[in-house]
Amino acid sequence: MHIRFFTAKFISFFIISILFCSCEIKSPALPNYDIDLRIPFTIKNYNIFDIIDRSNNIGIDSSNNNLLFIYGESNYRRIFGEDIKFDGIKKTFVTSASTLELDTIITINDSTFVTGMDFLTGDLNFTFYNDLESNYSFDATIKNLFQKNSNDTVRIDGTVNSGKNLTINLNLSDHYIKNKKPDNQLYIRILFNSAVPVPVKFSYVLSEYSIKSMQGILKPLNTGVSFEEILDPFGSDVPEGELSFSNITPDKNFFVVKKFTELYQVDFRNISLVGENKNGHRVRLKYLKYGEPGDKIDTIFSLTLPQKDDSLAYPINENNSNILEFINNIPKKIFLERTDFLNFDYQEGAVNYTDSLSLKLILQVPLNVSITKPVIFRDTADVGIDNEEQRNNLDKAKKLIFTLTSVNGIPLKNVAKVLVLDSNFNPLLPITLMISNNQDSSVIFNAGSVGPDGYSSLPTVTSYSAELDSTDISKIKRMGKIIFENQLFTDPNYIPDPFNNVKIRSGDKISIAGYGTLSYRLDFD
Amino acid sequence: MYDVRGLSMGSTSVSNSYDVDAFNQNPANIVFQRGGNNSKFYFNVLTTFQFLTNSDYLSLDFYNDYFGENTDGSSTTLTESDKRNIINSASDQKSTLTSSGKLLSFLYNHGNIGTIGISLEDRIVSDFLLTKDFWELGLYGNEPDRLYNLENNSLNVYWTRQLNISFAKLLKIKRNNLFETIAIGAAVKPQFGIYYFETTKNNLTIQTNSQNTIQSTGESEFLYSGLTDDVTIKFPSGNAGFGLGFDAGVNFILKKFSDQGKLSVGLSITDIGYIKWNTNNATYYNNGNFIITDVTNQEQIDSLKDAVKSTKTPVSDFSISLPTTARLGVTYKIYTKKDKELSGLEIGSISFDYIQGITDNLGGTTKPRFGLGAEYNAGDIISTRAGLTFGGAENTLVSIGLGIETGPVMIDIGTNNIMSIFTPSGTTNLSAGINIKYKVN
Repeated sequence: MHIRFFTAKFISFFIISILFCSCEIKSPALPNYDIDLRIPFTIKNYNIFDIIDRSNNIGIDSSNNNLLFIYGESNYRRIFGEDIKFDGIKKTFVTSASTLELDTIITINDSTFVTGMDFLTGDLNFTFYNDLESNYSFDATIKNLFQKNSNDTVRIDGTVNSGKNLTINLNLSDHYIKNKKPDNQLYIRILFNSAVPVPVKFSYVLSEYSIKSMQGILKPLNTGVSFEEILDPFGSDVPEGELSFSNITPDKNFFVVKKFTELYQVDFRNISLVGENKNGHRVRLKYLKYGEPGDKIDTIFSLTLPQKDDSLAYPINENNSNILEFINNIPKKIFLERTDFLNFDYQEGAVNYTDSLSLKLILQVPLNVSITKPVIFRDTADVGIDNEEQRNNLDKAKKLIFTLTSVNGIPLKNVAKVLVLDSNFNPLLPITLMISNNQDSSVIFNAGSVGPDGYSSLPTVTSYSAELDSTDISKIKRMGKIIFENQLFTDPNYIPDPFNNVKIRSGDKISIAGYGTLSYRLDFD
Repeated sequence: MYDVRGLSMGSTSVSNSYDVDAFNQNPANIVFQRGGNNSKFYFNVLTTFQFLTNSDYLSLDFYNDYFGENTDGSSTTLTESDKRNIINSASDQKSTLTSSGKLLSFLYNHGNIGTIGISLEDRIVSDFLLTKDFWELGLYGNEPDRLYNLENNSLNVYWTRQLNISFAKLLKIKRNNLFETIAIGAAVKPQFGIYYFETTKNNLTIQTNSQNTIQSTGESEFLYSGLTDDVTIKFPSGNAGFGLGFDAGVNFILKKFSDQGKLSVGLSITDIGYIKWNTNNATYYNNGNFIITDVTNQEQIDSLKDAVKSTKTPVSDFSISLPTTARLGVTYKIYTKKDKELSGLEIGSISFDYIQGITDNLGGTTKPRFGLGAEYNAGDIISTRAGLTFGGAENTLVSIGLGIETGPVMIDIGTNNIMSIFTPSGTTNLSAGINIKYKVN
């Protein structure tokens, strides 16, 4: 039995030994190998609103493929105030041989007939003379002139001593005229208190006066020359560079003339609009001479707002104006000079000194442009490898290939400069100089492909790479800022013939990324 | 897990296993003994052990070549060819490592009452799967314009212990022409959970673009229960879960099937039950949503760290069902012509099993498996065994083994994959089992 037992043991262990001795199991150890790790150092995404700061002056035309447009408005509004002025009447003498009662008139304006007139300024001055040897007194009534405080008819009276004069002044701002029918005269009745009829001599003077309000028939009134200046009609962030717009947005561009109360016809005469860009270059806007189709276009033009209308829009397009020339100058300021006339058609109406007029210029231009002088924008990104382990990983790198890549969905070429600095803005690595070797240290990120409709159709990917040595890698570890300078302009090579312009949508964007490809030996020992 | 003898015979066991080897296969079979034996006691202590690896790539050679320490203590340096080989071999392949051992087992045959047995067993199953994208990310780094799909990556580990208390009785039914004997058996198996770690959710993806920004989305979650609260392994001195399992089985020996042999039919269902895990239960959640566009951006780096760092959330007790398995099999034993009673040691036997897992829990599989095995007893001492296995998690394997009986000591060694013997370093289905048991008459 013992023999069988040990035989069996021997056989068993022999077989087991064969089985397991042929199995070498090494101690576990993770392998080493070379690996490329791509580490994004920075990525900047710019949409068109980062390039042209978003403001009320930038809009999106959702009905037209989200095409961007620039909107500008220049509103020139005036309140009449003391501008409704009338000439007065020079000193006028009235004489009568001998009377105790006299009716006379004062014609305040040859062509203006009022049912009511409330004065703002002006004086009516009477002077009574007495060349007799005795005194006399008088009591006068101006029938259609009333006192504001009492609504009583204006009365003047006094005693004129012998050899003396008596002057009485009426401040018209305290008075108003009221007539049943339009009239241009003041009616005066004077009673003289004397024992016997006396020879009468008096004079009156009506100074230049202005009105608070009037009703009736106003003579065509020149309210004077207005000169106004509007700053930043397209907002304060008008892009730099020279833009050439291909068109304006149809049916979105107008002169709008408006009055804010019922008023006589208003004629905006001798309008002159001058746009001045950032560089001081001026372009005069030309428009239909009288705002009517068929008129020739002129730098001096007139617009009319009939009495029956509160406002009127005069359309502006490329046929009735030089609007493209005007807008391509992208005015920073627009100067307006004009002369407003009231009641040029001499109709009955009304006016108040608080009444106002406005002349508004509304422009909308799609970003369907050719940009020959680049639009420039700059950006600074905060970067920095704070993590010590990451910095150590950089030390392990056998090499680092720095790649700058752009995915450009904007139909504009971008000439970019990228500079890496430390946190104190001391330059470390002129990245674009290193990867391009261009004299101007810039790289070109090609424009997004442009379709036949002028829009960007496909983003264009452009990459530049450079291998950094250990010195440069140590600079990467110290980086704190990256400055991007981008110059955007249209690239004819990317625009299908026969077009020269591109259309910019709200969703167009460009992405610029810098990343390093680290090659190092992954060692778990 | 199979008994070592069954492992060698094409994973057949339901109708041909006996004594302590029948634990967990068919409790009815514990009443049977090797032909010619009639012992009262069987036992073993720490002498039954087996392990299986099931993988399409994970061989010892693979491990040694790439993940083994060189003789000079250095690590292997992977070449481009090595990387490609790893990716081509190991991508999207699930690998399973299973080991089990009997801490002790004891069986007593009482002629009248029946047979009672007790066994204390440990079983560790782990499986993992790494996707091609995972390997490529790890070996080549983050390439531009890539989508790395990591959602199928998984790791599961289960360590359970069970006390198997089996009872079987041999019934001799008189006045029937069909069955010579019928053995019935049942087992009650208190279950002790040691460690449970399962990937319950993973839909992580990592996307890179032409500018090498890295965007990760998705989440992963792991369910843990174990003896430690920090997912570390220590030698089990307690349990992290408790449950109950049951086995039941029957074995029919047909009467007068042949003059030269016996045909037995076995049927069993094992591991009906559950384990309720109740210690240090927690989910470990990783929110994988982060984006790295700028490695110098501390906020982004912090979000990456947050994604890597798990959030531990205690959870209430949870129950996991045992890997219930049904087995049906037949064995035909062939005897010498001299053995008219067919009661001695058979010359040999042929077995066939159909094995059907009911759940995938705790390392189980629902893929059906078929086994065909044979044993040849060259005298009383040596038994040679071989078999074929089809289906299941491993697909087709050729098994082989050896049994040695030397009086009170019975030794079984075997493998379910013959390649484990001829090319043990190269096979990806390495398995081996050894079983030393003792009998006392």
